Amino acid sequence: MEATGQQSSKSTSTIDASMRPTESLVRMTLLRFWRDKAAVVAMVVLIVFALLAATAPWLSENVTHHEPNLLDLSKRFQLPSKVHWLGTDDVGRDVLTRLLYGARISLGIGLLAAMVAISFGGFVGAVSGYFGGFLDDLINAVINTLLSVPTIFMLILLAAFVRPTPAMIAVIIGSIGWMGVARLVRGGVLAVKARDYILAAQVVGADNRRIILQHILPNVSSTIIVVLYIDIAGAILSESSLSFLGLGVQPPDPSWGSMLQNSLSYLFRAPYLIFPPGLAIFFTVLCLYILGDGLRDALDPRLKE
Amino acid sequence: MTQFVVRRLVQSIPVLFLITLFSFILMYSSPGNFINPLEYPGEMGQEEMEMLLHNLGLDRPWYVQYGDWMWKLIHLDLGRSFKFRQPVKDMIAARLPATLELTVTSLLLALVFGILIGVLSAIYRGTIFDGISRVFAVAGHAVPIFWLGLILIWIFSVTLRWLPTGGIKSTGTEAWDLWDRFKHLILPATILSFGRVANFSRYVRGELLEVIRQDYIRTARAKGLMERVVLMRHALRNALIPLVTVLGMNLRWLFGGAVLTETIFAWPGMGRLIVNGAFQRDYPVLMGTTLFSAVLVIVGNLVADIAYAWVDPRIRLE
Amino acid sequence: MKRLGLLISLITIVSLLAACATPTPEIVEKVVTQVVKETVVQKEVVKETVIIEGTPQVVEKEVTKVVEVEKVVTPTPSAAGGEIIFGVTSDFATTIPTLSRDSTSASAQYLMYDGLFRIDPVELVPIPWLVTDWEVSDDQLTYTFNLRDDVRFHDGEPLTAEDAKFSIEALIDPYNSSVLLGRLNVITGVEVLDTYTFQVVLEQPYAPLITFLANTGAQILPKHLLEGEDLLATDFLNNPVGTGPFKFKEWAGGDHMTLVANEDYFLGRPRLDSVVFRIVPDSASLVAALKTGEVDISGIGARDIPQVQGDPHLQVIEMPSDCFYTIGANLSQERFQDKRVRQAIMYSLPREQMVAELLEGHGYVTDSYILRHSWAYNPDTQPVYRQNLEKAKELLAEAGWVDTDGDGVVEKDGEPFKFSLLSYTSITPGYNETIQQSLKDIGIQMDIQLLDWPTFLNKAFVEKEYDSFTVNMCVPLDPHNPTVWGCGTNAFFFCSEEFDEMGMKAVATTDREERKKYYFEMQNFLAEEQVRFLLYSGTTIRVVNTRVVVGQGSPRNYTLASFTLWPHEWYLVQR
Repeated sequence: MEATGQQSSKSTSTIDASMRPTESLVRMTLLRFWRDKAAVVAMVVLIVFALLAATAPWLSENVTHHEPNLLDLSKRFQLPSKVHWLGTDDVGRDVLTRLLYGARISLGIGLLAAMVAISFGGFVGAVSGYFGGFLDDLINAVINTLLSVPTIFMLILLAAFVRPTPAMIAVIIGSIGWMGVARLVRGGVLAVKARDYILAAQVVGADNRRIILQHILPNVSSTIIVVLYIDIAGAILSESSLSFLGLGVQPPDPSWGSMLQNSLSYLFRAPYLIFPPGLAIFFTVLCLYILGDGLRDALDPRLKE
Repeated sequence: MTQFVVRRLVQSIPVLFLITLFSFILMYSSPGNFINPLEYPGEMGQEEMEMLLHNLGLDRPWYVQYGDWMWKLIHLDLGRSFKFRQPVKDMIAARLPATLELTVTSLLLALVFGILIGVLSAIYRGTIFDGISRVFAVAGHAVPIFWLGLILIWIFSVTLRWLPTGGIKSTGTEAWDLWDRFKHLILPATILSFGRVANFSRYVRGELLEVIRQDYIRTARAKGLMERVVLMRHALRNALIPLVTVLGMNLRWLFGGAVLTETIFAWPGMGRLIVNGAFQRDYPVLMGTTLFSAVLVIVGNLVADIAYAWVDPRIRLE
Repeated sequence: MKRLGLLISLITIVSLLAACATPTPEIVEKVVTQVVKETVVQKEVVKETVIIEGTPQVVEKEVTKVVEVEKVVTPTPSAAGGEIIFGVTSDFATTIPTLSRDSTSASAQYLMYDGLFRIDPVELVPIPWLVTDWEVSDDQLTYTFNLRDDVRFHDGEPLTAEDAKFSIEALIDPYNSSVLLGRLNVITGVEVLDTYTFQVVLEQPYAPLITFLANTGAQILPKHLLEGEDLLATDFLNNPVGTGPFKFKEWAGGDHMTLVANEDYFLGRPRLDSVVFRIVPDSASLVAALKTGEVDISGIGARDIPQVQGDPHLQVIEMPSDCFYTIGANLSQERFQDKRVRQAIMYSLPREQMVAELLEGHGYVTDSYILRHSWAYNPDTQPVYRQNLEKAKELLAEAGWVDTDGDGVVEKDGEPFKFSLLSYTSITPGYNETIQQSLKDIGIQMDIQLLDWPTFLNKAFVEKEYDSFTVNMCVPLDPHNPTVWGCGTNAFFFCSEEFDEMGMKAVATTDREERKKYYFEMQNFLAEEQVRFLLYSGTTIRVVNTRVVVGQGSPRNYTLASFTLWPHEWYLVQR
């Protein structure tokens, strides 16, 4: 792409600026972000969801007046009513309360899985990209190995090893996802590494760790931030897929994925049950994607209007 | 270039070896094995169990079994499935076309819609259309696929009776009855394409927007050409080339990534073969499909890297 | 249920009459009727006592009920022909009966092959099928069988005693590890006496021999095609040849299997042209396919019944199930060794409600370990466990478990009563949670651990590392079941010599009344001891499209094809 040649001359000045993030840059980013209305709305929605999840116990006591796991076989399949705002499920539990508690687990898993994938993947990718050579080849071989094994196969077998608490589920999902992050970060690091000022720093004798931390990581940080949101979204979807396969969160604890999977068995009989968890997942993932997009557009120094 | 390709292929062999070894160890260290469901009390006696274990070769240490599998592999034999007693090669060959039909169609659909949405968003960037189309593209990806699948089956099959509930064709119809095949294919392929439309459209939009800013485009505009023509002729062509790399990376998905869709729509494909194999601990099937998948990843990476290099001269193929 | 019983009696009488006429089965025009469920709206005026402002008053209310009424209908047969489509959730493991271990495979084999005997779907006893008559020697060690002479394989070759010998030997060959190996290895040898006569020699008298020869796994294989072949690696798998009413046509792996009518079937050409098995892995998709008519017959779970009930094209057939829902506790753990603790657990469970709700009423609570439709069932098994939380708490307290610190969980010697329940992912939803809730109400904390099926089986039955597990336990019809209850062979560390002794005595005699006495005692014994918590038994449910006539369900319902009409008698209705 011929554009690249021209770009480097422009980008040097931008990079100088980003070497020492200034207040004005941060403010510019925020302004750009603010202009993307969709992203702002998405962020607000996500914050609301997170708050609802965090206050679920309080809400269940004072607002919905139900417990999430208390079952009552005589109250099954009740349609939404004043007592049960979203109705009851197949064993008589209140759907809304379960949805709130499920938010804690699903959002929690999403966050944790993404953290696992990004911290591990980011580290490996950075090391691999920066040091290159044999280490890079070795790590690439490992990553290729893991990426070659069909995901489903790994998921099912890994899940058999551990006791499927939400934390372990998050770790499993993260351990399937870190490879992609590593690849991305490695690519980003490779691109940054080629820039002159890095060579300059190396000539000057700055030690590697300092270079990575101070120069390289900040430049790939925008990649990482965007990937974070996409990873969280992906993890939430993976959680629901795991539940579909029967490997998800254990009963009686609710998660959006397990609620969804359970409700699909009663599709023709109690269709109202499939919407709360399905829509919850849908809107959360949607907002995460839009937010991620918005952030990427805002952070990308090249997209100047 | 040829040197590069050859070197990469040679480098792949130890990687393949590593992959098969890793998979084998993973399978053998996981709890549960093929025999367990058959040991279900009352079903099998001790004698039968031991004989079965022996027939399947499961009473040998894992490295012996691995060696045996590798030996067979060199003779291009992938062994026989524990459950079905059929050659794994044949089982994969039987199911591959079905999966390909589904995934290739959905990939094509995703490309068409992705490019369309991407181009339109880029042209009308900043407007409501841009926002809506971006949301629309992402929405399809945000929905759990089995949820959407069942809802659509409910609407289109059970309620409206327009489309069948699943399968690759109706029983009793011939395989070349295209209308019947189309009716069976349209729903799963469309749902499957949603996941990719989001990525493709964002990718195309991003690339297009970047290309727009380049000088030669400015020059072309200065010459007075209409913006649309400018985009179509120069920008689009350049922006689309990197898409090839994306396709390369998707290769593995093409062959085994449609598990959930295949389950919901009773599609007789590879994805289900892998899932069932994993749940039943049918090692020959798992090893065969893993090997297949691994080869695809290697080829896919190779294609992607070559495409990258072709497109971006900065990256030299070392 | 009563009407069903009348129906079965009617069919039984007719078929008995027919059976008495000749010792071998013929094409019997059974009077087949179908029970069709219709929904009818009934309005009733009901008097209710309502408290209005403190005073009770009698008020009349009109109540609208939607009631299901069973109508008995005799459908008019159509001209011969047509196709029936079965829906199954998993692919066929094998087309060879000897190797068969799952019901899906057995369903297809039931249509492609014949056995020496077959279990009568109504009477539940083995009747001669390929065999015309037989003799047993005085010492009960030698059986001489005579075969029919008019049976041919699908490739035209006649069925002879050589094929019978080959098939039986394949069953007892340890290499094939047939499911019937353990049950038929009393056979020491098979001798061919002439073209249609052969002898089976046993090493000891064995009452269930004929019953097991009637099993679908014992159906006859063609020797001329399989002699010398390794059954585990033969191409015959992809081109099976039997003598049954339907011939193999094609098998698209993972998708469907097609069988077509055998024109030369020894009982006459089947009325149908073809039978197809379609594989639909997801249960919601399967229900959808039933509703659209893409699948005619399928098995479903109790919870799916409300989803198909309203549909006028679908008929729900229920049959007694061979399975119990059970919980097995690890009896090597001290806390479970006290009988009172086990009884307390049983008393805490709302079993009637579970059947009414989780099984939608399709099942029955039982305290006996023997199936209700078995001849050995003791209807007065004592003690009976109705849910009684107070009694449960009392028993726990007696055993030393009391809640001393008020945290809701009982303790003994400082140890709180907490244990984990191992279960698997495809169990009835709500089952584990209900148990958990009930135990919580008496102060026991149980948490649930779900595993996938192979891992579950491995942990529960192989490694035996568990506190407790739940499982849907299916038992054979014959009450002799040492693997499940016998000392040393069972999976939950139960050992009672007394019980084993009674079991041995029961099987040493062929006098049914005497055997019954022993089994009645054994049922009371286990009910008292509660070594394995038997909650209830469900029903096996089939959904049949009303355009298809296959008769009624049979308690011998191991395969999807087990109905009161033989497969060659199935037909489509002209509507």
